[in-house]
Order: sequence, then C-alpha cells, then structure tokens
Amino acid sequence: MESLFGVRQGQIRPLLLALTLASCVLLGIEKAGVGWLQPARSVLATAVVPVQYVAESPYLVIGHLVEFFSTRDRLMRRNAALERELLLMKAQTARTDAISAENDRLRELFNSRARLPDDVLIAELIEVVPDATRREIVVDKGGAHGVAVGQAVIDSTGVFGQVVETTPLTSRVLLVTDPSHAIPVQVIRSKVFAIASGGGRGPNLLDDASITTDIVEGDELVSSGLGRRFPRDYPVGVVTDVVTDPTLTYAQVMWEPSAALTRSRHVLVVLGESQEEPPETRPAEAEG
Amino acid sequence: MSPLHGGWLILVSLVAAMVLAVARVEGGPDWLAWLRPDWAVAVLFFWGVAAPSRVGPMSAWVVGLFFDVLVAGPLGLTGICLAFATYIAKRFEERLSLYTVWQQVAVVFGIAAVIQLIKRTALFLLDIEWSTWAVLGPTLTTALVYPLVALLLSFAAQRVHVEGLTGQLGRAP
Repeated sequence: MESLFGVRQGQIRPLLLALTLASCVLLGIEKAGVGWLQPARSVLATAVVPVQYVAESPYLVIGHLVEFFSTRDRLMRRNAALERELLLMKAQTARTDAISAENDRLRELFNSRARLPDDVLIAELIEVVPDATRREIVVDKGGAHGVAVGQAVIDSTGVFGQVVETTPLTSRVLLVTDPSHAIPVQVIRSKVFAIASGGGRGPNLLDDASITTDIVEGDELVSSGLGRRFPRDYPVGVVTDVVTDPTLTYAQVMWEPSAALTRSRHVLVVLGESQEEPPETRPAEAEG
Repeated sequence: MSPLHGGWLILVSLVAAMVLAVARVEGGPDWLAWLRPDWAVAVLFFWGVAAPSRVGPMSAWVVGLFFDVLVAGPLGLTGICLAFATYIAKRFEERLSLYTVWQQVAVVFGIAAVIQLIKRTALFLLDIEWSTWAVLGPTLTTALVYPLVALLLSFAAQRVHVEGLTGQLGRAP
C-alpha cells in the first residue's frame, strides 16, 4: 500500500510552505497598517471592477427596465409628483438660504469664518462586502473622480459612513453601523456631545453617555463636526432606547441610523467645502 | 483544439466563482452571508482532482489575491486557503478521482472547515469580529454545492476538451 505522505509531490510541499510564508508576511504588513500594499490593492481592485458590475447587474439593470417598461401615464404622474416636490424643496431652500445668509452675517460679527457649502458627488453602490460581521459597501466613484480616504458619505436622509479605501475607479465606504466605526455627534435637543459607535450585528451604542447625561428616547443625533472628519449638522441617527442602571457609570444608549443604509442605491460623497478655484487645483484636504 | 487547450474554461469557472462570491440578495437578511458557499474552494478542488496538471498552489494563491480585494479582505488570506485546497486535491488526486462524489463531498467538507477556521482566525487577529456561524455556515454549504459544481464542470470539461483531464473524465466520452 502506498504510504500516506509518500511519493510524487517533492516540489509541492516547499512551495506550499513558501506561499504560507508569503501570506503571513502580507497579513503582517496589513496588521501593521503601514499601507505598503495600497498600490497593489489598487491595481487588483481595478481588475475586479467588471466582476463587481456583473454581480450587481441584476439590481443595476432592474432600474433601467422599470423605466423602460413604465407607461407614459405613470411617467407623467411621477413627473408631476417630482415637480411638486421640487417646488416645495425650492421654497424650503430659499428659506434656508436666507437663514444661512443671516447666520453668516452673525458669524462675521463674531469674526468667525463663514461656513461654505459642501461639494458633493453622486455615487452608486456596486458591491456590498460579503461578510455578516462587517458593514461596508463599494461605490462606483474613486480617486479619478476626486474621492479621497476620509471623506464623509451621506444620503438624502443622513450620514452613511466614510471612505476608507479608494482605487482609481471605485472606493470602499465604511458604514456608520460597522463595529469599527464611530462618529462624533451632538444631541439636538440638549446639545450634549457624544460618540456614536456602530454595533455591527448588535445594537449601535453611544460610547460615553453617563447615567446623568440628558439623553432620552427619540432624541435626534447630528454630526458635531468635532474631529473635522464629518461635516457638521448632518443627521446621524435617532436614540431608540436608553437603559440606565444606577450601579453603572455609563448609560446604555441605543441609536438607529437615519440614513437608509440597506436601501439606498445612490449616495453622496462629500468632497469638502467648495471653493473659488477649479477642483483640479484644490488640495485633497480642502482647508484654508 | 480550443484556445489555451481548454484553459479558458478554468478561467471562466473562477470568474464565475468571483461573481458568486459577491452576488447578493437585495434586502436579504444578515445571516444569508453565513450561508454563502466558498465557491472558489469547490471550483479549485474540482480542477485539482480533474486536471491536476492545469492548476497548482501557486496559481491558486495568485487567484486568491483577486478574491481578497473583491471581498475587501487582507491580501494573501484567500490565497493561502485556495493553495491549501488545491494542494490537497493534487496531492491525493489519484485516490480522490476514484472516490464517489459523496466521498469527495466529505473531503471538501473537511477542507472547507479548515479553511474557514484559518480565515476567521486570521480576520479575528486583524480585529474583525469573531463569528462561529461564519465558520460553520460556509463549511456546510460549500460541501453541499460541491456535487453541483462537479457535475457542471465535468460536463463542460468534456465538452470543450480541457487538456490534462485525468481519471474517469480523461477517458473518451
């Protein structure tokens, strides 16, 4: 009988050892977080973009098909509804503009810099990272479109997450509910500052709310802009439950994100505050 | 003879495995991710047994790099897992090709279990949450889809005359 670990693979085992070693070195570099592998990742990620599109094609195509097959009547109704919405939004924006102009004048009185509106870029989802313990997506705008690591991502209802990796054509976005994500927030009602952490599969918690902090169920959280990574005053979430145990120092404050994290196909990447210069000459981190 | 001596079929099957590795059900529940089979392991194990001269640990490792960026994992992790699956398949190719498909399923189950353990442990060391279901789920489903993968690929391999087929597949149909 042939022995179990016998013949005919003289070359293979050293090769397997070498490959294991290579993998361990790569993982070590990854763990060190020095970013040496970023160029290689960028090249490989560009190569797999077609695969991402094919995998996502059912959802990319459905939108077009729905449009293609919808009746004239339905399109007209939809158009009318959108026009109404646009009118309402315009009226609202006009009001906001007036308030913001007034705000700028007041800030001038206090000698502080006027806040500029943010430049945004619309991006479409092309992949959801397939791991139940993580909350990450890939969108179809990358370095070539001006996206950079650290930029905030929002949708029409609130903060979505932030860009953690870019390639020329795509970028990876860490959602606010990922267990490794945290965002500085402020409670609108009581002006209390806190840090909202993602919970992954568990509930999302506010990190540092002591039991005496003025936070109640239903409180709205907006980004505080502290740390300067996220723009100020975008809705982040709503407090869904506050558990105070007198024997503990901290309250358990649970929150749910405002953004439609699992339903939005289109998101906005906040490129930074818009400036007078053309975008090419603007440095990546637009701060004067 | 088809171009690349039928090697394109191997490439196509790997690309299909890539697509299946990230395809998703919109609005599906979270736990669906734990039932996603490790398609690449099933496909490379099949080729390792059916055409051992066409795939090897080295090529499997390189293919793994593409999977790593696709699933946003650390570079090199999928590579070593796939290299291991291919190594086992090639090393015991003569024995495995005599096995019935159900005996092969048992082997795939074992390989998939080891691979998922390696993967989750490495991810855990890289600060990604540990999940036992993420080990058990894909192990089971990979073994379950293997007969289907083997059936499809052996059918296709005989049709396009992939060079280097061994065992029952190598004989004239």
